[in-house]
Amino acid sequence: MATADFGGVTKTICLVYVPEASIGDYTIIHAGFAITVLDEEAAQASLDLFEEIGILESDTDQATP
Amino acid sequence: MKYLSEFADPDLAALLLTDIAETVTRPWALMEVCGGQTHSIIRHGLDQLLPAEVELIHGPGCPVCVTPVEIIDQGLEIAERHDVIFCSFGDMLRVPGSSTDLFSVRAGGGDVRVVYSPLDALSIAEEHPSKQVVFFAVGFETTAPANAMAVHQARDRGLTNFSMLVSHVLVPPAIEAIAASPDSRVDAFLAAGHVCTVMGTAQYEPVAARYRVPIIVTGFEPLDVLDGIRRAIQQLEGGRAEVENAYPRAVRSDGNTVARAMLEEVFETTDRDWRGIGPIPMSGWRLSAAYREFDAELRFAVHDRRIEANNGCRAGEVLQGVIKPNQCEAFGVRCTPRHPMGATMVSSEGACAAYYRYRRLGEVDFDHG
Repeated sequence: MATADFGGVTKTICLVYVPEASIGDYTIIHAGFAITVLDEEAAQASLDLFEEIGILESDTDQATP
Repeated sequence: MKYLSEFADPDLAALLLTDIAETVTRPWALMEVCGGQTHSIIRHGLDQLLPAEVELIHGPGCPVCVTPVEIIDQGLEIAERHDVIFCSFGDMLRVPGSSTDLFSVRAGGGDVRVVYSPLDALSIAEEHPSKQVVFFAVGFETTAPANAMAVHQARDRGLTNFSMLVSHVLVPPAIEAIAASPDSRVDAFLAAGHVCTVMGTAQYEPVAARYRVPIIVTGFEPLDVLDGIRRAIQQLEGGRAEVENAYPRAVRSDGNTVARAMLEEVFETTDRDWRGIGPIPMSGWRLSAAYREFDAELRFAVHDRRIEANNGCRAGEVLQGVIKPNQCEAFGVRCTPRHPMGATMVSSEGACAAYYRYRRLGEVDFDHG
């Protein structure tokens, strides 16, 4: 069991399904159980992808008079 | 990174919307399966920002909404017993059964308690050894690991006064049932991200292939939903129908293997009747033989006492995406969250509740430009 901080409200939650979790990790919690530890690299890769979409679009815009 | 505000960035949202608008060439209908996604879409007005060609159909992913009325009636019958403490997640209390709801049972003297986690119900059982404590285990694959662990712990601790009334439902058979329906208008599905966090993505491959529908595993923040839509439109315009993961920070292809092992042990698949939709083969979980002694339905020998009168509620059509909530005559007039006629107006994941809460009271008429 561990204490989770939901942006200010804290609750005791169960970590049995996320043995890899460590202090400071962000998790997704359902019904008092963490079901995954969020993957920061994957999150950053998604945000980078969205930025790239914008760059590709401005390139396309320039190419099309 | 907190993974929330970053995924609600308006500038990045504009980029995704532009990309969608530049890719789409003809009308497509996408179903977001999960009620959490429906709430995000309506709350942020994402449907109003999309090009006119992209229609979002709201799916059945609200566990409280699809819990069959006969099981709610069984819960009500158990909750009325004087020797029972009946524990439930909060949004189940106002869901109407055939003739009453859990709130009314509580008002009539029944010991009905709202719990945050099924483990709370276990603690109540330990504190009240002279009472039978029953937990109402509803939900999709996301809630199932918690419920499975509760019953597993009950067996380990030798708790003889704990049982569960189980009505678990499964997303892939529901998607398949919708895709297979000859009436279906759905061209692509946004699969429920957190269900896939638990179960992984492999279950969707045969559905995508058989029905030629793109299935995009999608998260819940505005950018997540827009990226799910963007990928769906790309596939549709390119003539592809694949399973794609647009929520990689929370979903791995094999899901949560520890949780899946526990689910495998505690539950077995069964046919399930979805309220408002009808029976879907092998679309639910019940307790496996090893845990059958914790099945409240058997312990209390409750029976089907269904007397569902048609009160004019069109929740079934809403759950199947046939109508939008504000196309129902009762919406916002006879049916409100305080006086719901159907479960879709009650639940925090119900489409009618989303439309009511975010003031989509009538048909939205706006210029797509």
